[in-house]
Amino acid sequence: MRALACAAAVVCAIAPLRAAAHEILHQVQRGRALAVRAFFQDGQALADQQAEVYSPADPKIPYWRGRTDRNGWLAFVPDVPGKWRVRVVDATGHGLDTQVDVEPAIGGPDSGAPSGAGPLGLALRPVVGAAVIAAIFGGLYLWRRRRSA
Amino acid sequence: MHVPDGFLSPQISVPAWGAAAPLWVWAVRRTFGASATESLPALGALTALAFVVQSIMIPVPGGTSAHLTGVAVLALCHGPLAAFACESLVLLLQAVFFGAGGFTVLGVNALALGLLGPGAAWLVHRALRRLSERAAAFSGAWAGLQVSSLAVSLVLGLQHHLSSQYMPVPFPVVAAAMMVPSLTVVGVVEGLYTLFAMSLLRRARLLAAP
Amino acid sequence: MPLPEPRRSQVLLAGWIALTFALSAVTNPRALAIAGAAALVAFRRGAAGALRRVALTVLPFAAGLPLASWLLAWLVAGSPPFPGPYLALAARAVLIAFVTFSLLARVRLLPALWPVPMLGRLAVLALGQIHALRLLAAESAFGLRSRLPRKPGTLDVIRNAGAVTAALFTLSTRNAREVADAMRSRGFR
Repeated sequence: MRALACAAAVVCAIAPLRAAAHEILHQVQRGRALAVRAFFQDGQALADQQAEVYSPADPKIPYWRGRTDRNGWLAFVPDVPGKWRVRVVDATGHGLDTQVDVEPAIGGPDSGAPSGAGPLGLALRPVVGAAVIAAIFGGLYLWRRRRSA
Repeated sequence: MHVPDGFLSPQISVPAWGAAAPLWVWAVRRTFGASATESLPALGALTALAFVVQSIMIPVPGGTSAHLTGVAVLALCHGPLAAFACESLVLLLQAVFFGAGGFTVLGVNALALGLLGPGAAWLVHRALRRLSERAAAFSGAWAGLQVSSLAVSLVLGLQHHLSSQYMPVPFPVVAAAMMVPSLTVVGVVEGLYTLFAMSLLRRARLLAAP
Repeated sequence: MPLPEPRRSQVLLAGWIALTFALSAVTNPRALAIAGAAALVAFRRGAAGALRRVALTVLPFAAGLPLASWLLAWLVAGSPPFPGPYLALAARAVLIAFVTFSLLARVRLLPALWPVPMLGRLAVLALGQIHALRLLAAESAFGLRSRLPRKPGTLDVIRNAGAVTAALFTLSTRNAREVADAMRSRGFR
């Protein structure tokens, strides 16, 4: 681990250090969520009712569970295209049980890193690469040493 | 300094792969094999640093780009074969995951930047070590970089000679574009980097005192 | 007929190697344009992402270098040289990068490299690390963006690189240990 410590020390010496740990980060994406509204024939919303959403990938366990808002809306962010089942259950036993089609464009798998990093990710490229190499050598070293021990 | 994909035709890149492949097998066995476990941490740190300095590159019209390589120090501390293996790893990572350099030209890049340059650095260092350790390290790194950039510009020139349709820039222009910054600025910085890295390693007791 | 998984990835990898070498031999601009169109059709799924990666990582260099060389040749020769070969040079570099990014996104590298132990080992270590570290880097970028009142520029990134670097190296040390243990427990030799 001396090498990793050494590499870390070198890079940290080059760049001014600012501590930032245990942050809760967030990400805003527009046009990615799907909203469904449930209402009675007379227009009255099914407000504040229990609701469940099932992914086409797993029809048994709910993908999302919660309550509709004051206007009868619920929203979720699909991760696969296909037919999503939406259930809203009224306290009186009335309810909505319907299927919503999700197009591949919306429900495409949000794979890998959030790619909104753009030029920021590019600027960090040398650091990421260096960390990868350090980890490769560290992994090889530890694995070899423990095997021989 | 390394050549990107699409700048060299298979006439050059395939033979270079053929020449590099057996060397890779040998170098990887020697460098990452079970017998070399104890030197892996130092190698890893130096390789990571080499990746960082190689990512900072300045494009040069006519040639490719100018940047430090950081492999001379690997050659001086661990031998040219280790430098070849580590530089190849850096080039592979850059080509496959970060889109710099390329896969078809990997053989050429590895031979020029990983074998010829560090090899020259190692030879010069060995020849001059008796006079002065620091001067030997500096001039070794400087010479290694010159050999690498000369090799790259020779290969690009050869490509122009084979087909000017393919590589329109003639050798004198490539050579001038590559060698002038390399001789004046980059080589000197590479030498200083090597001196700095070696003194750091010595202080961290990862390298025996001369 | 779809091939079973490790075989499919191996075939794709072999095809990629053959294709990149073949593409690197093409000089005719028309042939390059046709090859580019064919690549776009063949890899239309995820093409936007691959193109963006190309634009960010390869294009500045691949387009800037021939352009600068063309200007230099103009300066040396005194008259503007025929731009065809320079354009072909840039197009080749961009096309190969696009094919590489698209294809690597479709290949399951670990099973494909399994028969070669050293490459498999390297791939296990590298892929695991790259994924974790890229996530961390992207999250740090988002964190930086959420801390600053304006859109962070390159200078802000460099100024805050220390924190990210420290986190990256802490994570990479921890990852190295975990990957080493995981590899040992799965019987890597």
